[in-house]
Amino acid sequence: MKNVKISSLQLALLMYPTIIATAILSVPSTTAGFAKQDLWLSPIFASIIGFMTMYFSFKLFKRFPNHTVIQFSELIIGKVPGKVLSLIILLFYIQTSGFILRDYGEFIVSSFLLETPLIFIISSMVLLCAVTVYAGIEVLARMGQILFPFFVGPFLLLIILLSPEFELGNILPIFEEGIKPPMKGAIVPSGWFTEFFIIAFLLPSITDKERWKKHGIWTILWIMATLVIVNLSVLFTLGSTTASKLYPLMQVSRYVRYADFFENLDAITMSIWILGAFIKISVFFYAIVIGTAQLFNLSDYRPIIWPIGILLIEFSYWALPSMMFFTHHGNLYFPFYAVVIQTIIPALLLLIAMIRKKENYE
Amino acid sequence: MKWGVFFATAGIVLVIILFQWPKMKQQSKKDKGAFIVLLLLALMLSMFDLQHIKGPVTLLEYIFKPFGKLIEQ
Repeated sequence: MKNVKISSLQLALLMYPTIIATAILSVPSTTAGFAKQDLWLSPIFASIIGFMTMYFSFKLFKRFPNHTVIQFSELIIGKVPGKVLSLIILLFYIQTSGFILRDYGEFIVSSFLLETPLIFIISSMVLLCAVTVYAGIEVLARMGQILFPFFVGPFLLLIILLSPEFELGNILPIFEEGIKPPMKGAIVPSGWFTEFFIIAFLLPSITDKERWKKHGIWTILWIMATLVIVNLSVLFTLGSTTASKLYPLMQVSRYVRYADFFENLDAITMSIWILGAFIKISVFFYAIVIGTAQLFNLSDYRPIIWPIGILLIEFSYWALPSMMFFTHHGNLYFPFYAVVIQTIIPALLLLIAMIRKKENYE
Repeated sequence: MKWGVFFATAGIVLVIILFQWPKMKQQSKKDKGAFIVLLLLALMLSMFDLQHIKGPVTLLEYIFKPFGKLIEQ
């Protein structure tokens, strides 16, 4: 495989939209379902899982600086168990990409392109991501760099224009029922924070390895801050009705009316969403193909991009009959699945590596 | 079984082979094998009515049901 390199800052700029993208849209309402007016505290609790995931993956990376999770799991627990574990991890990422695609498609179909078939929206996104992944990690990283301002800028504009609508009193009472509701609300976003583990596929490609630690911590802090801001602005605008909206950020962006000029800003939300989903799916897609290529010791990952693209589309439909079912599954089961695969398994791998004193610096 | 979906997928698979196969001449048998096996897998899955059959998601639900109940309360 060609030796391509990206910087740790580029990786951070890639990770931020990767986690935020799908989290800002539907997660605030599920969090509000549990935490009510304390929903803004939940991302802070959830970020603890993010820091744990980051710590485990970083420690593993220090032991195996040139290996992805697929390669070092074989080195740590042996050839056959390592392959099985890698397959489980890859299946997780394939299924999760399916979820992301479905989530993306359902949002576009239900809010904007009402007449367009879902399959068309999902397939066109997969095609776009496949072409990006085909170009390689360097192109993906630069894409992240170029698109980053377009992701953050409109978002900030939206929040600023929305601020006249804010009803600051909605935040009260804080801790009405103790600390438990916001903790419960943190379960769903923590599933998103665990996605940080995807760096285990990308870290071997960075050049300035020692600077990653700082960038990684800042990335998690920024993600946390962004989620708190989103949750607060949703809460300030919608108050106690937040939980009943499927896409709260989308709802609040329709409230904006400024100088008779800035109106109907829901298009901004859509553009942020599409941009973010594009980066997110590309990163997941890249991790999957590179992981599959390493699992089967292939010399080039590019040919398998196309068949895996079809598989991703199929997984976005498989056993998911409706959006209702999908949301239900996403709230109740996905967070636990994500924590098991992306936080607990790396923790165990690290523990075993420490006990068996496994390291590899080649 | 939905024939439309199956034939559409078959068409896409054909296009992929037409474009990718000539570029894979020098690659090992293993690479070619993985490429073909994954394509066949994708084609096989397209034969089912995926939305309404059981799948990996059903399995996950079965495994994580106890945890799900935990937050539902």
